[in-house]
Amino acid sequence: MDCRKCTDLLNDYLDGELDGNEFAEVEHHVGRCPYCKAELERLLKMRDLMAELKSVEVPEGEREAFIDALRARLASEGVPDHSKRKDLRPYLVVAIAAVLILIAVVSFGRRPQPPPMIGPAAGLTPLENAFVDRVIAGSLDDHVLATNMEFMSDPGLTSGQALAIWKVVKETHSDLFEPYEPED
Amino acid sequence: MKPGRITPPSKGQSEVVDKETRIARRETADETLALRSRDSRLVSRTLAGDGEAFEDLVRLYYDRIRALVYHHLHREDELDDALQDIFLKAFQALPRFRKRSNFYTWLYRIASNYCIDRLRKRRLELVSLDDDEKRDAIEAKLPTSSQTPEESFSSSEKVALVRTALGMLDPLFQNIIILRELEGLSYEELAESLDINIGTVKSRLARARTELKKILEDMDAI
Ligand SMILES: [Zn+2]
Repeated sequence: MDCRKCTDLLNDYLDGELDGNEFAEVEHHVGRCPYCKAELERLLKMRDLMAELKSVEVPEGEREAFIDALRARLASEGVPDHSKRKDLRPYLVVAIAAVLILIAVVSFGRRPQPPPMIGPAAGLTPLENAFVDRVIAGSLDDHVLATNMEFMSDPGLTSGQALAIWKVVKETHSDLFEPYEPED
Repeated sequence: MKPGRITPPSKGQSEVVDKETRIARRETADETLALRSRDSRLVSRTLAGDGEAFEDLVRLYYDRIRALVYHHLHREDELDDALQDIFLKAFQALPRFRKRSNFYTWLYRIASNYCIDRLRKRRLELVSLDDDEKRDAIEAKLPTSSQTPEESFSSSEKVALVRTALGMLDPLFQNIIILRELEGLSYEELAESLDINIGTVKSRLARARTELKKILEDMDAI
């Protein structure tokens, strides 16, 4: 088993989802490979960190108070009411934006990579800059996933490039980004 | 990669994790049928007009759904409204519940879709901010002692750190990580809750974990 295959299987290994053969192979490899051992250790640390989040205490009396409130609400509007359909326009905006991004990506892809429009910002630490990048990249991912265009989360696209594309779309189609206000 | 920062795991460590997981899984399998028939009786009674049966269902699953919603939204002030909406949705959709699936995975699906929706709307709001506002919003989310080396993170800082990292993930990825790591759903339960096949569960979970690991590495948290 090589390192790539081994690291691919580490989470399944920790989840107890491997069959006997693969399990033994991972054990064997991790026992001898410092790289995969360190990777396994990072995954264990990640799980330990996640465990910090687990406990969510429910304040005493909250559950019954909730049920009382729900009972009242069910009494007033419990009968399924299909007249209150969800307004789909916010999703439409997202869908249109995603299509525009797609067009922008395709046209950008044909020429040399544009320089990132947002570099490390002065006054922010490298860590904070990494966050900025991630948030920006994350918000783009989200739009794309909303319409199943998963290729946009291609790791080859830097967040700077993604933002550049986003800005082009935003500037040329500012009318799409009016604050959304539901009408009654 | 940051080689040399971490001591290798002791040989027994992973074996212990694995054994515990396996034992837990066997017990869960034994209980599943009993829970399913209990829940399905309550569903039938609700559909027959017995309001108290629905209240029992809410009582049984309130804590788990509350935790699920809290892990997604992290806002006490949105919690009650969200839970009311979710249980009301469940009540109204109950005629479409298929008895051969588990009630709780069905409820998890309603709650998950609700949370993913809410998170997407929040992202949409973030995108509409200008750059200065965006930076402020991001800074507000950063744990205050982000410069501290990993050894000295206190427990509450660790919570803030992981929560921030989770919040950076795509809502779909956040959702599957929360269901798997915090709610402890098996792959099969994930497939049922998310209405996707096991293959998709595995690939989505793998991508989500890779993303989360990258973020935590950037934060020097692991
Ligand atoms: Zn290796």
